[in-house]
This record gives sequence, structure tokens and C-alpha cells, in this order.
Amino acid sequence: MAFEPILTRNRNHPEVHQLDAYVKRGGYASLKKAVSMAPEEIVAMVKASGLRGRGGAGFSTGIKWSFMLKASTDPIYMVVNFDESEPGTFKDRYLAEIDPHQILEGIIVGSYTTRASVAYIFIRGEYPAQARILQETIDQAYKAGYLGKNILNSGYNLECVLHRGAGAYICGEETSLLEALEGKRGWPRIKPPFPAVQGAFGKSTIINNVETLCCVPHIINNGPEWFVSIGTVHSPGPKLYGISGQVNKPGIVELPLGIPCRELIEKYAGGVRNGRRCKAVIPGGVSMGVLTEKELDCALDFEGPPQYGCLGLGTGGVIVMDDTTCMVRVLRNIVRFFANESCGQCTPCREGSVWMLKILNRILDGQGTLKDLDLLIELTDTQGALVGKTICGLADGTSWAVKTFINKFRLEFEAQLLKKYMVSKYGPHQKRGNQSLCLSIHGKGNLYI
Amino acid sequence: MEKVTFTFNDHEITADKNLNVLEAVLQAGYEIPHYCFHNGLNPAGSCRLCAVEVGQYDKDGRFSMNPKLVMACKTPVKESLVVRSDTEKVRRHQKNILEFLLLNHPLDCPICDQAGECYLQDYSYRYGNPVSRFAEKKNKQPKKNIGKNILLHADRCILCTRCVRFVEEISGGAELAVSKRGSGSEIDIVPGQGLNDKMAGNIVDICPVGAMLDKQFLFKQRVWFLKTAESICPRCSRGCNIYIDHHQGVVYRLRPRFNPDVNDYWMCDDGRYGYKFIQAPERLTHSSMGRGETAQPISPERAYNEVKNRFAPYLQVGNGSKMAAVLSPCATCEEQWLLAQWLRSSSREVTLAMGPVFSEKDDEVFKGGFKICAEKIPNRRGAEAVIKQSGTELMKFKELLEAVAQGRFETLWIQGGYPWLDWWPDDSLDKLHAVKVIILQDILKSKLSDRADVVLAGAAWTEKSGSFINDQDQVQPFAKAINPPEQACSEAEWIWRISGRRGQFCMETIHSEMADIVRSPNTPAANTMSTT
Amino acid sequence: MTWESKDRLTATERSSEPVLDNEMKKAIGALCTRYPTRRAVLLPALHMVQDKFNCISESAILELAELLDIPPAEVLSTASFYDSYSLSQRGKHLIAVCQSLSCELCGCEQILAALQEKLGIEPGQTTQDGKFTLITAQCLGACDYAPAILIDQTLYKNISLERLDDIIQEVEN
Repeated sequence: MAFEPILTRNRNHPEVHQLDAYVKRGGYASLKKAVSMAPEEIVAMVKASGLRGRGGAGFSTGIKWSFMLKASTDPIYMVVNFDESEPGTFKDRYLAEIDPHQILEGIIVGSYTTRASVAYIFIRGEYPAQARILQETIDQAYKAGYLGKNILNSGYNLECVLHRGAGAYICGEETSLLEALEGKRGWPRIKPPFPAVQGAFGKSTIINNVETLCCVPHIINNGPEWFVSIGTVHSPGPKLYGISGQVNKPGIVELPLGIPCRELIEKYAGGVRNGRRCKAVIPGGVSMGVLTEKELDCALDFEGPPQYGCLGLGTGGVIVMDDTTCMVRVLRNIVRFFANESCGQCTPCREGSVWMLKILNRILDGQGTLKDLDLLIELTDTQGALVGKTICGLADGTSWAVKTFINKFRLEFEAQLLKKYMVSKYGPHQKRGNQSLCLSIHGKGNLYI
Repeated sequence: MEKVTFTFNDHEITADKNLNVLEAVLQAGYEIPHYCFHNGLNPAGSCRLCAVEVGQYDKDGRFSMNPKLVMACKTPVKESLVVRSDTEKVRRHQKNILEFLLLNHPLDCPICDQAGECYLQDYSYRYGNPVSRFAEKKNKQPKKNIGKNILLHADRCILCTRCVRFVEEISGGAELAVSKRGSGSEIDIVPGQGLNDKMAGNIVDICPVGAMLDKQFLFKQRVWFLKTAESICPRCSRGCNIYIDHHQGVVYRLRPRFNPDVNDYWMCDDGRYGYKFIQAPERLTHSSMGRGETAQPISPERAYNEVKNRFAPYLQVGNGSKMAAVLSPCATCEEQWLLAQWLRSSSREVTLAMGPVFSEKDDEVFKGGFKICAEKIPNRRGAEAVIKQSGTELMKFKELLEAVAQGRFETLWIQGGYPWLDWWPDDSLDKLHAVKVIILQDILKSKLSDRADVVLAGAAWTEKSGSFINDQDQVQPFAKAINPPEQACSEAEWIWRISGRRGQFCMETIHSEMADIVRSPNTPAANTMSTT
Repeated sequence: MTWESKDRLTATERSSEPVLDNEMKKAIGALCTRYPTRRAVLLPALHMVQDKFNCISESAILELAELLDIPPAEVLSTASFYDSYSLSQRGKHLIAVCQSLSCELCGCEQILAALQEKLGIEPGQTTQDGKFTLITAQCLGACDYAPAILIDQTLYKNISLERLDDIIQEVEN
């Protein structure tokens, strides 16, 4: 059965930016259905569908919403996490560009289900164009009575506010997002208490990713069984994969969860560009780690990448690297990102990420030693919320990236040390283009200096 | 308050239910290293040093240890919780955290004020790595002048944020904040909005490293030479509990002492820097006789005899009404009592008056509840209690001045000991013309001491032991720190000798006689808490 | 030299005119109805100030603190945390070159080097004439159009070295 895109079904219909056209193509039907259902019913549907959060953690949305059924603060808030800052991820931006009303429909249905009375959309500061689009969308919805008082004569009231972020990756972490919403610096909070108990402004709050909310209208329209029929047993539903890096056709493609990585790259992204071979792939945003060329049969669902030592599927932002790419430089780029974005609240991440960056810089400058590689691996053990050592998961991203890169490309790292030593001893050798030469021991075992 | 029992490293601890694990463990006298936690502030959980492993029994009675480390300051105590800080995982984590904190920390120990009382030094020694593996360039933060008395060396800062939480929760001024992000974070103020309120000095106490520095103590003395005396601050009637740090007869600084009923962990800057008067150039070091230009220093022996001789006639029956004594609200209860008891027992007609009570209009109360009293003298209530014991009335100072102006008194015994030169109002100095004999016990040379016939050089509060009664009617004893200069000695000792008591000066004797007044000395609550 | 302390006690020169004019104050006030606390308006208010002046000055910090009833140090803390706000004066146009992984794989380093040469400044600096400030950005979310740069509010996609001159020309006009 060929897969029909659902979330991106309107990608060739720019007219759906206007509410009437969107409704004509079936928009807001789920909202009309939802307001006649009890919140418990909707939660049961979402639970049965097996929908898992698309923001990176993959937590069951149904279970998250069921916590909210016990919430009793006044008011309850819905916060939409549109702070898409993970490198390699641009799916939410795409959704806002092709079908903004779909996002809003998901938000309103989600708010109704969790009995929220205000929905804040936290959009990152670097998306000014998308913020304008969303604001326009919200204004249209207010005019048409899909937001505000007595939505569709159901008695349900919902206010929707667009809140622009100001350029910090850490604000993608849910408690950091709440802090930024409240006008403070984005230092994550310690959990417990969880946002469902004490969230935005001290009230019960539900926080969901944009893509997750976009799935909800379709679950209501087509039923949970239909959702389960797409994807895999543990990871049902469609997913937007964002492919970028050194491929011929970077972009978004919507597929059922579970597509093998190799197929995604070769069939949907046009293969590696310039006819080169694939050397490494990051399966879901740089926090997840890396897959080598031999591991490309990995299924891109929530269970697949962990079997190959990665943290998880994450956001599904696939970054492809070809065989001219130096893994040390790639790792340095990733660690530089984390060191820059670390919020500075807790000691391991604040000091550890910068230390790792400085070591990598030194290795790339030709002053590295083998002990440095062991030190880097040891440092990854000192980081991480999964082991309780840091407050949030940014440190886990740093840790997993460094761990997987060095473990899987150990020989290349070691050769880098040797090469730089050789170069510093015997002088520089030929360069290719603007990229300095890389020792590549993959494939046919060519070792060229 | 309901109590729970849990185990920490195989020791059983019983604690109040509302405490977190770290508080409970510290209260019981054990150590879990920590930085960002302070008993007087809300916990932050950001330094990550107080990690422990916890385990508990589930409802079926099965025991399991939690695989994740948890922060002791953010874990509430629970019945039958098992807490371990001696496992391999925790030890390794502690080593890592200390290594991280030392990465960018400058090697300033030889020039850093905090050396000797530095928690980075102490914990590194006990829990850290002996060798550094950092081979890169350190991040250097600037040194900043952020307050009238406060210097910030941001390169030494470990971002525990105690100072930020203090100004937010306790002093309420919120002048400090963390600026920037990540490894470049530093503590900063908005230029022009400095840390100038009266509680700024506490920031230096709570900073675990030498980042926040007291300008007045900067480079003055190494802390391991300092001896410590437990004392009470005399600059207002609050009676904050303090430590006096001194060495070789010089007081170098005052620090607050924990007392949950009076001052918690804090003291104000008026008190903290308010001891300088004991080292003032006007300090009286010798007793003297004679007014104005004719004043001559005299030996203590001569002083006793002079005073005894001049006073004796007025202490006889019938003449007592011509004598008045001014009890100082800056004097200790013992001194006030000794004077009152001696004079009243000699002649019941002696008038006892209260010295001037300097008071501002209102108390100053800070956000966290810390109060600076309006009354700027420590022991008015002591004088009142003493007088009540003597069964007589205390004349107010204003009334005394009027009576003196009317010529009612021929002799005055004045207890001074105020920290200012001009505590006796200038305009009433000439009213003293009718008084034939003025005996003055004071510590600073002033116009009054020029006018007095015999001046007995007294001891400041750091140079004697005694008790003050504070504004909550708590009797607070304090200990002597240093000796009075040269031939000065405490008022109590003067009166003991002059009143003809036999034997050596003995505080216990006085206390047993004063028992009713000092019956319930103030005992501080559990003082094993973190007092960094 | 090592013992020189930065003097933070003296206020730097403050503008005699208030930074927030009545129009801005009204706009900020209107935002207050959308949030339960005045503090939450801080991020949008800082955006307004940054967009208008390309800088969050000390005067602005103090005025915002007063307007929103927040301690000034907290405004400083928030403003210095985020990349969008700059406590030092930025040029008329902000050129943000993405240097995250996908863009680096597609050659952003050359773009950055070329811009540095063309404008004569390092990342973080502003040109002499105050027209351009160059910064590096962390993942603009335009990985499918790598390498990408964000100039003010416009995203320029699939940048090549040849297009740079035209782009700068376009921005200047």
C-alpha cells in the first residue's frame, strides 16, 4: 500500500494559508468533532494511537495528556514548543511554511483536551518569517471564531499568544522554555516538580512539539487504528524526515516511521552528492550520535538507532556526510555548538563541554595526543541527565555525540593525530579544494597522506 | 513536626519531615560536600556536588538502589530511605565536579583572602583529584568593583549563585545577577546599581571561594592566625550573634554567628564594620584626674583611691540624694547591675538615670525578615531589668539633664562606653557647672571627659565578657576577645574594686547574685549547620 | 595590570532623553494583557528595543526594569543570556552566518571567510561605518538550503561565493 503523505498533504496548495481554503480541504474538521467529545475520550484515542512526541524525547503523548486530566490549577496552559534549534532539524519550520493552520488546529484540539485556557506558541527568534505567518494564521482564526470565546459554539474559550524566543538552543528544553516564556534567563528547572503540576507561571502546563500536535487532528479524523497501521509497532505514525548535508536533494520527506536509513538517503534524497560514498550519518539531530556506513540499515524509528549505540531517533533530522569529510572537524563543529549553547547553570556541562572543545581544537591544531582521546571518552561519562549528573539533557547530547564519534571512528581520530604530527614534522602535503586532507581508512583501506 | 528516620552511610538519622537529605545529614554532623546549598537560602541544585545514591524499599518490601545519582539538596527525606555517599560512583562524580571547578580557577591561593577557609581548597583536598589534567588556556573573567565594600574577582567564581539568591531572597535588593551564558557566565551588576545596602557584607561570608571579597579585610590577615571569640554585636538592640576574629590584640573582622531566634545567619554592615571605634585615636588608655588642661594621667591604684575618697561622703546616709548615677545602655548587664547595686545598697536615695538612648525613627526590615532595630544601643533593657530588680525607678536622661541644670546633684557617676565621641549632648555640658564631682567611665576622649574630674579608662565590648538583653528580651552572653589597651579595664572590674569587694574579680559571683535577671541565658539552636 | 578592577559602580553615560518613547511604552503595555505577569513581557519588549536601536543600552535596561517592575539586574541577566539581544551597539544590518553542521558540510567556512575579507571585520565586530555587524549563528533551521545566512529578518538560501556581492548590495539599498 503506497504511503499517502498526511502532514504534508497540503504542500502543493499554498492557498491553505487562508482559512477558507484550508477548511475546504478538510481543515478544522477534527476540531468540530473534538469539541463534541469529552477530553477523556480524546486522550484515550491519542493513547490508543501510540503517538510519541516528535520533539526528540519520544515520550507517549497520550500518557502525557492523561497526566493533565488530573490537573486542577486555574488556568491550565498549553505551551507549543516551536523552538526548533537542533542542528539538522527544520521540519517544524517546513510545517509552518506549508500548512500553518494545521499546526493551529492541533494546538486548539490539544488545548481543548487538556482544558487549557491559554496557548502560548514559543517560536524561536531565528524564524521571523515563520513567526509572521503564524501571527497571520492566529489572527484569521480569531476572526473566524476558531479562537477566542465560545469556539464553534461549544462554550470552550481559548486565547492564543505567539511568543518569540531570542536565540538559545537550551530553550528547546521544556522547563527552560517555560523560564523564557516567563521572561527570565533560560535556565532549566529541576524536575520534580514536573510541568504538569507546576509549569508556566506556577500552573499546570502541557508542552508539546509542533509536529506532535499536527498529528492529532488526523488521529481524530481517521481514528487511532489508522495511525497504528502506519509505521512500526513501537513507533506508529508518519514522520517528517529532514535530510541535509552532502546529499543531492536536501529537504523534507514524509514517510512512515521505520524507514531504513540507507533507503531514505538513496531513494528520497537522491543519494550522496558528487557521486561520493556515504561515510557517516547522523540519524536525528546532532545530539543523537552517529551511524557509520555499515550501520545504514538502521531503521529510523524510536527503537532503531539505540541498537547501533545512538541515543535515539530524536527529531529525525538526518545529516549525511560523505567520504571527503573529516570526522574530527565534524565532531569539533558539534561540540562547539554545545559549548556555545550550554546555559551554564550546572558544573559538568558548563565546564566539560568547553574543555572538550578546547581539546578538539588542540587536536586539530596538531597538538593532540592519544591520551586526549581517552580523556574525551572519560569526560563523556561525567555528563548527562540520564545518569543524574546534570540538570537537563543537553549534556547527554554532547556526551553521545563525542562517545559515538570517537568510538566508531577511532582509527580516524588516531590517524588525525599521526597525520598532524607528520605534517608538522615533514611539511604540508597536497590539499583538495579548500578542505585539508583527511585520512580515510574506510572502504578499500586507502591510507593517503 | 513529624520526624522520619533514614540511613546515611549506615548511620541512622532522625530528622524533621520537611527537610531535604543534605540539611538532615549536615544537622546530624556528617559531611556531604556542597557549594550552592546554604541553610539560609532556597536550594538551587546547580553545583551538582552533593550527589548521592539513594535506594528505598518498595511496597512489597523489596530494596533497590536508584541507578541515577540524585542531588541531596533536592531530595526530601523519607522514611527508610537509604542514602550512600561512599560508593564508587559518587566518589568519582565528586572528583569530576571538583576537577571541572578547578579548570578555569586561577591558582591564586597564595594571594587569595579565602585561603584557610576556602571550600574549594578543603573539598579538593578531601574529595578531589591531586593532579590537574587541563592543558588548555584558562578562561579569564575580569575583577570588578561592585559595591562600597565589596570586590568581585569573577575569575575565582564557581557560579554557585549563592550571592544572587541572597540578594533576591534575604536582602531584597536584587543587585546581582548572572550575566551571559555557558562557560562565559559571570556575576554582574547593572553599572551604577551597586551592592550598597546594609546587608552587603554577608555576601562575602556566604561565598565559598575567594570571589566576593571584603575591601576592609582585603590582604589584612591570614585566617589561620585568627582566634575567634563568640560575641554579640553592640550597634543596635537586635543583638546579632557574631564571631570576633582577632590576632595579637587586634580585631580584624566580625562575622555573623548562627542563631535562629535572633539573626539567623546574617548581620548588617553597621555592625560588621562598626567595631573600628575601639581602635580610634581618641581611645582612652589611662585613667586621669583633673579637668581640661589640668588633666593628669594617674595609676589605677591612685584612681581607686581618688574615687573612693571623693564618693565616700555622698554614700553616707542623708547625702545620697545629692548623687546621681547614669547607667549606660551600652554597658553590660553585669556592669549596670554592679553599679546600681553598690550605690543603692549604700544609700537608697541615690538617683539612677538611664544614659541617652539613641534611636532612629523606624526599624529596618529586609525581605527575608532580617531586622535592624531603630535603637542603636545594645542594652537598654538590661538597665531597665537591673532597675526593676533594685525596686526603684529609672530616671530618663532628659529629666536628669533638667535636674542637673537645677543644681539638684553635687556628684555624678557617668557610665559611658558609647561608640561615638559626642554622645553627651554638647549644649548640656555647661549645665554641669553645679556638679562638684563627676566620675566618668568611658572609652573615648571627648568634651565630657575633659570636663570630668576623674576619668576611668574603660573597656570596649570586645575587651570584656558580659551579657546584653536584646529587643526580644533575650539575655545574650558574650566572651572577651582581646585585652583592653594599656591601663584601661572593664567597668565591672573598676566598680568591683571601688565598691570594696574582696578578692579577685569574679563573674560567677556576679551572676549568682544577679540570677533573676540572667536566669535564662540565650542558647543558640543546633549550631552544626553549614555556616559557611 | 592583573590587579586592575573593572569599575561597575559608576554608571556609564546615560542618555538624557528616555530610550522608550511613548509609542513603545504603549506597545509594551498592550502586551501585558497577554501574560499573567509583567515579567513575561520582557522578551518581547527586549525584541522591540533591539529592533529599533540595534542595542540594549544601560538606559534601556533601567527603563524596562521600571516599566515592568523587575529588578534591573534581572533585565541585564535576561538580556545578556540570549543571542538576539546585544548589550553593545550593533550595526544597521546584522549578518548571521550559520556555522552548524549541515552548513559547514556545505561550505559555510568559505562564506564566512569571504565576508570577513569583504567587510574587513571579524565575527562579533561591526564595520567602521556602522552599516554591518557580522556574527556566527548556531543552526538557523535552514539546513535544506545550506549554506544559509540570515540578514536582519531575511534568510538567504544556498549562498555561493559569487552571490555575496549582490546580496550585500541588495541589503545596502
